[in-house]
Order: sequence, then C-alpha cells, then structure tokens
Amino acid sequence: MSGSGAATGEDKKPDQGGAHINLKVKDQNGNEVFFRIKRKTQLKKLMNAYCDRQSVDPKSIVFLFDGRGIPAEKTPDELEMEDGDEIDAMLHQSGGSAI
Amino acid sequence: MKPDQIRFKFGSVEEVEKPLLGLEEEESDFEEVKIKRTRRKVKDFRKKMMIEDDSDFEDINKTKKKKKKVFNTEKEMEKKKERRGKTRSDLRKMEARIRGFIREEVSKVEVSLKTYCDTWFQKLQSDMSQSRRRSPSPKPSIPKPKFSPTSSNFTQSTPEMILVPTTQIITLESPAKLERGVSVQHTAYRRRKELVSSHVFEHLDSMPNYPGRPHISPRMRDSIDFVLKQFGERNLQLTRGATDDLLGSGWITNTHLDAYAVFLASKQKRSLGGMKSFIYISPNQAYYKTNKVPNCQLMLSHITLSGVQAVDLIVMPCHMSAHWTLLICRLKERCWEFYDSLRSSRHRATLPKFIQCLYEDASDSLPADIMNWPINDVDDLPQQDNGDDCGVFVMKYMEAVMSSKTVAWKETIDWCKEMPKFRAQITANIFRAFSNLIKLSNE
Repeated sequence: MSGSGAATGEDKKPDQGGAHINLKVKDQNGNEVFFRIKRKTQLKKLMNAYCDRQSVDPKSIVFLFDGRGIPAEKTPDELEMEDGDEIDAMLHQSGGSAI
Repeated sequence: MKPDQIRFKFGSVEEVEKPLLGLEEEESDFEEVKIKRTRRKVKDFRKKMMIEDDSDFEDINKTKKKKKKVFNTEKEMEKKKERRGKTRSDLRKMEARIRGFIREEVSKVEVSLKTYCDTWFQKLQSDMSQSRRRSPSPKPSIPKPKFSPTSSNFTQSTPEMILVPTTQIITLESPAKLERGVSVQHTAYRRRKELVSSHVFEHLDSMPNYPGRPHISPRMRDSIDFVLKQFGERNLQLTRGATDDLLGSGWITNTHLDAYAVFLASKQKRSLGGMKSFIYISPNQAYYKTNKVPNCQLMLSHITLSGVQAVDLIVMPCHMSAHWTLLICRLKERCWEFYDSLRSSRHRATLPKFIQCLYEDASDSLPADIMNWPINDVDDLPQQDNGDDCGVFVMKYMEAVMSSKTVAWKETIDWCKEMPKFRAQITANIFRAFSNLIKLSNE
C-alpha cells in the first residue's frame, strides 16, 4: 500500500516527467537490451538484472554512462539521465595470451 | 539512619534524612517505600480517628502504581526493617572501603608523581648550574612511576582497557560484509593504525596461500594481508576477485595495469628525478574508441601540450585480443619502442591502429609527426613460457623502462621463475599506493 502511495506521490511532481525512465544497455558487440526502471531506483538493480540476463559475471563488466563509470548506488535522477539514454556495458580487457 | 528516625506529623511527612553520596539510587527507592509506609500508617490512624479528609493521599497513591506488599503484622514489618537496615549498613561499609581504596591509590600516584617531579627538577637545576652551554633540554634517566593500580576491578575503568573491545569488534567484521563505498575506506584507514599496532593478523587461515608469499618482505606481506582482510569486493576499484587473479596465476586486466600505473606514478613523484617522468595512457582509451563509447576522450583528459613537453615517456599498454604488449614513446628521442613478451609479427602489425587512436583524440597536444616516428623492437627481452603471465611482463617492462638506467636485457634474470614473487610484489605495491592515496584524501 505504501509503495503505491509513494509512486503516485512521484507522479504528482511535474519536473520529473513521470516516475519511470527507459534506458538502453548496449554491449561491445552492439546488442541492446532495454530496461524500464523508476527514477529513484539505484542503478545497481539494473546492473544486476543485466548481468543475470546475459549470464555474465558482474565483476568482469563495467557500466559506462557518457564515458564515465556508473557508481552502483546512484539513481538515474542523480546522474541526470533522460528517457532513452544509453548505457554501455563493457567487458574488462583481459589478457594472458593463451596460444 | 534507621527507619525509625523518620518523624511524621498528621497529614505530611516532615523530614527525611538525605542519603549519602554515591548511594542515591539505592536509597531513593528505599525512601519511597518508607514514605508510602508512613502514609499508610497515617491513613490507618486517620481511619481510626474517623477523619475522612484524606483525598490528597488517595491521589498520590493512584499516581504511584507500584503494588505494595501488605504487612499484616507488626512483627513482620520489624523483621523487614531489620533486613533493610542490614543491607544498607553493608552498602555503607562497601562504600567506605571503596573510598579508602581510591584514596590510597590516589595518594600512591601522587607520591610517585611528586618524587618523579622532584628528582627531575633537581636534575634540571644541577644541570643548569653545572653548565649553561649545554643543550637546554636535558633528558634525565629516571624510571617512570608505576601508575597501574593493583586491583583488577579498577583496571577495567582505565581508558586503555576500554579501547580493547572496540578493536575486537573491528577484527570481527568479515570482509564480505563490508559492501560499502569510499567512506568505508576512509574509516578503515583510520582504524588501520590500531589494527597494525595491536598485531591482529592472527587469523590468516582465510588468506589465500599465494605462491609468492615466502619470497617477499614481512612488510609487504602485512600490507597484502591488511587489504585482503579489510576490503571486501567492490570497495576498491581493483576488486577482490581481481586481486586473487593477480596473486594466483590469473590473467591480468586493464584495472591491474591502471592500478600499477598509479603506484608507478606515486613512486616517480617520491623518487625526485630518480625515475623518468611519464604519461600513462589507459588501454581503455583505444578499447572504448574502437567500440564507439560516447565521450571516450575523457580517458585522455590528463594529456596537455605542456605536460607532453615536460615528460620523457608515453606509456601505453596495448590489448591485442587476449594478449598484453607495451608501447613506449620516447619523446626526447622521437621514437616508439615495442615490448612484447611473445614476439610475433602479427602483434606488431596492429600497432599503427593504437597510435592512430591516441593521436586522433589528442592531436592538439602531441607532436604532429608522431604517427611517422619509427617503431623499434627491443631485443633480448625476457619472454614468457606460459599462457598467463603477459600482463605481469608488461608491468615489469613498464617499471624497467622508467628506471633512469638503461636496462641490459641480456643480463636480466629468468623472469619466468620469479613470476610468483613478482605477482606478490606488484600486489603489495598497488595496495601501498592505494593506502597512500586514502591517507592523502583524509588529510
């Protein structure tokens, strides 16, 4: 009950333009995955969902927004993301040269 | 003070003797009971006397909701009184004993302090009188007085002993639970001194027994153990998993190289010209650029024209599909040098792409003809004998290139045998650099 109340409270605020935001996560091969999350949700949730879905190790991947690494505790609001923004999910470069 | 001593008139308690210092809490309860009892007596008396006006007392009784034992007979009451008197006298005795003890201890400390000061003052005076040319701060070798009280009851209240449980709490925190951000690093650093000084590195069973452990100095070992113990995953940019890779025989990632560059930079700063100055280009730059990550020029934001003119080297590790190589630009000699731990023409052929990536994003600050500078191969480099260590080779090449002396690669020892030691040393150095950074940010 309280959750729905909070959601309506967010809707009422005009400057936010809706409580939800659509984000696109793009990996280095150009594959895109779309997410719809609340503006006040920590992006950690999105990252974990992406890693689960793609079955990759969260440690081996770095998420970039506008060329900068995304701190997991930040929310779309704090990073001033807009609807339809793109997040890059880049694997860490790893090398040992197995021949 | 005996309970009998409480005097009362009709309707009001006239006077209650004040309790002794330090026993207020015990006494206050006791007083209440007494007052209530006297009031009950008064009430009974009034009832006997057929006085009806006792509304005040009823109100007071209502507000105090505690149930009272009803003493049926006077004998029982007297017994109770005696018992109470006994406990109180016991308490008073204890108090007196404690006070005496405290007085003794204080006087002891006072005496020892006084003797200490007197002897010190005498010594000072004699020194002054002997010769005024001597240094003004004589250090008399007088044994320090013993301040430690003998009783174990009282050592618990000294501040030194209070500190102990807090350090215990810190050691109990498991690294896996520390999933917090930068702030943890700061507090962790503040606690570090306590941890290190109290030698709490006892439970090393959970530490990975990495192969390089016996080959490094105890200080390096301590710094590795400290970070592994203190930082859970995600607290450092270099994750715990990545650290395990580095200590074991895992592959090296760009984060390792970046972290090691941080160490080399701090070492260069401290060397005061003993090492060549350099600009480090993260391998992420070419990687992000080829993958068209927006705003990837950020990786080169530290390159400026004046900066490039001031330094000797541009250091650029290159990632070539699961292999690490090192590209060095010697700005003074106007040439490139290529370090490959697994020499192959295939690796060499990709180099112009990396140089182009760099030049495109930093054309303002780099020499215009840098793309045409010759790329020299370095001969007699130590070569790797397995499929895991090329990243470590790159780090060691970086370190060797930055030393002010020219390296005679032919005479270097066999690096492959030293690999476990190198990995442990590199980890320790990275951790040290990071802890220095935390220290700086705290200051």
